Amino acid sequence: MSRRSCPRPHRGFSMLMGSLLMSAAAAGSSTLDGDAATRGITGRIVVESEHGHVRGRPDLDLDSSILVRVADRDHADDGRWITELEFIGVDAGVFDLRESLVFDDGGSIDRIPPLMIEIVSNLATDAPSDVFLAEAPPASIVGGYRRLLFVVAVIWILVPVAVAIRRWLRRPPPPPIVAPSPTVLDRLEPLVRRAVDRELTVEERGRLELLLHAHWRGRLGLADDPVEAVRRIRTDPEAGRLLRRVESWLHAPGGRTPSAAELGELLAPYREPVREAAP
Amino acid sequence: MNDSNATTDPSTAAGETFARTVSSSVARTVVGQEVVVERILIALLTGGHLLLEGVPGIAKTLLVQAVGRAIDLEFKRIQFTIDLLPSDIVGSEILDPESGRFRIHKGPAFTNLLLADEINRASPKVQSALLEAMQERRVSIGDTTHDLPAPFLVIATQNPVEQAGTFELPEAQLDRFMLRHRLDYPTFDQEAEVVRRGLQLKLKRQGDGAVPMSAFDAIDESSPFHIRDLTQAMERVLEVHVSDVFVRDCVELVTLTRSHPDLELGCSPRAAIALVNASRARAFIHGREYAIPEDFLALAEDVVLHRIRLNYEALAEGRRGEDVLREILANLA
Repeated sequence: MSRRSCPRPHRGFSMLMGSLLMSAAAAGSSTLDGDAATRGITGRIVVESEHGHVRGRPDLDLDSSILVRVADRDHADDGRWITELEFIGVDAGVFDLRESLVFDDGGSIDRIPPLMIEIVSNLATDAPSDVFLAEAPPASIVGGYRRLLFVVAVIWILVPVAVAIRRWLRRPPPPPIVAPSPTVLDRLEPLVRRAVDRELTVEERGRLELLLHAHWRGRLGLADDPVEAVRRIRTDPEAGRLLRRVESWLHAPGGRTPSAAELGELLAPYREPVREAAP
Repeated sequence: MNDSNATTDPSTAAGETFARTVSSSVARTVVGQEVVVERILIALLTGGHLLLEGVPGIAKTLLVQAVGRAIDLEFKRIQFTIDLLPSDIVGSEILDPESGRFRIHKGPAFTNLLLADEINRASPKVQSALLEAMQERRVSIGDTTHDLPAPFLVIATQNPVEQAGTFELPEAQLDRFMLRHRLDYPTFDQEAEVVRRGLQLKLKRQGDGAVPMSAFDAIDESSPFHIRDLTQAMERVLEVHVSDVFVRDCVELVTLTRSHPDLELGCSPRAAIALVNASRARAFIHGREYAIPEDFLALAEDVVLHRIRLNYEALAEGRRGEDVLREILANLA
C-alpha cells in the first residue's frame, strides 16, 4: 500500500511504489506507509487484493470525513487486483480507509487489512474552516450543467422562432395619409379662371404659361427634359398653335391683352378637362 | 433656325438670315456643330464670352476660326501652357535699339476673336490677366491703358478629361463667361462626312515642296459679312422685346438655384442678366422680335451649369448639375 500527496506522480512510478510497499504485507492486504495526508489535499493509495478491485462507497457525500475515487485499476503478474485510489480528507484525524471502500463484488471489506491513514490540518484547531466552503458553480444554481445547456438550447431556438412569429403576425402599418399633390390641371384651373376674368398678375401669367407647357408635356407623353419637350410641343400642330398664341399674348411687344371671350376660347382646351374631372 | 408664325418684323428676319448665312458658311468647313455656331453667334451678338468644353479633336479651333472668317473678324489663338506669362497675352514694352525708347508690343489679346485654348493649363495669374481683359475690355501695358478692339470675344476651351497639371477656374472666374457649352462627338453620319471631306484635301505646294492640306486650309476665305454687319445685328438684338413675364421666369430660375437643397452655390445675378441677354440674341437668331420661354429653356444649361456647385451630399449620391437643373426647370411653374 502506498500513499502520497499531490501533485500526482507518474502512474507507473506509483504502481511500482505500491507494489514495493505491499510486498511485506500479507497477500490481499495494504499498509499505511506512515505519512500523513493534508486535509483538503488529494492523497493517493494503492490497494492490492486477491478478492477483486475496490472502489469508493456510493453513499459518500460532502459530509463524509473521507472522499475516495478510483484513479486506476490494473492486474499484477500474480493475478492480484491492483486499485489506485485518490482520497481527500475532510476532517483531521486517523481513519481506516476501508470504511469508505467496498469491493466491486459486494463482498466484505474486512477481507483486506486495515488501511490507516492520518489526515492532518495545517490550521489551528479552533480555526473555522470548511474544505468545501466555496461558491457553488453556476451550473448548480440552475440545477446542473446539463440542465443549463438545455435551457440555453431552448432559448437559442425559441428566440428566433419568437421573432419570426412576431414578424409574421405584425401587420404592415397603414400607409400614411398624404394629401395628393395637386395635378397640373388642378393648378391650372384657378389661373385659367383668373385669366378669363383678366385678373392675372405678371407672376401668375408666367406660371400659367409654364403650367401650359407642363400640361402639354404630359398630354403628349414627352420626356422629362423640358428643353427637348418645348421644342416638340411647338412643332405639334395643336399644342404649337395654342402656345404660340399664348406667347404672342404674354411676350409680344405692345401686345394687347385679349378680350375675355378671346381668352375663354384660347384657354378652353385647358378648362374642359377640369370640368370633366369635377364631381 | 426657322420659327414659324413669330416673325413679323423685317429686321428680325434679317437676324435669321444673318445667322443662317454664317451657319452655312461655317458648314462648308465644319460638319455639324450647328448649336455651337449658334452659341458663338449669341456670344458675339451680346458681347459675352464663351467657354467651350470638349475632348480634343472635335474641331473647336476650326469652328471658331471659321466663324471669325464668316464675319471677317480678326482671329488669334493662344495655346495656354503652364509657363505662359500675362505679358504673352496682353503685350509688353520692349526697348527699340534704334530709337533707344520703349515701344509697345501688343499681345494677341488685341484681336476681335481670341481663342484661349485649354485655358485651365495656365497659371491663375495668367488666367486672371485674360479674365480682367475680358471684363474691362482694356489692358494696361506699362503706364498706358489700351482699349481692346471691338468686338472683342474670348472663346476659351477646356478639356474635361485631362485634369492633371491644370488649374481649375474658380467659380468667380467662371461667372465671367456668359455661356459654357459642352461639345459632343459628331454623330456617325457627321463623322463619316468629316472623313469624306478629309479625303478630298489635296497638297499645298510651297516652292518645289508640298505639304498636305488641312481642314484649316479649306476654310472659306470669303466673308459674307463684315464687322459693321455684326454691329447692326447687335443693335437689332437690343430691339428684341423682353416681356415682364419672361424676366420673371429667368429670375425665378436663377433664384431657385440658390435655395435648392443639392446646391452649395447658386447663380449670381449676373446669371439672370446673361440668361435674358442670351435669350434675346437667340430670339433674334430665330427670327423673333420677342423672347419666349423656349429661349431660356434652351440656354439654361449653358448659362447656369458652370455657375452652380453641388454640395457634398449631392455629389455622394452621384447627382449631376444637369439633373438638378432639369429638376428646377420641371418645377419652375
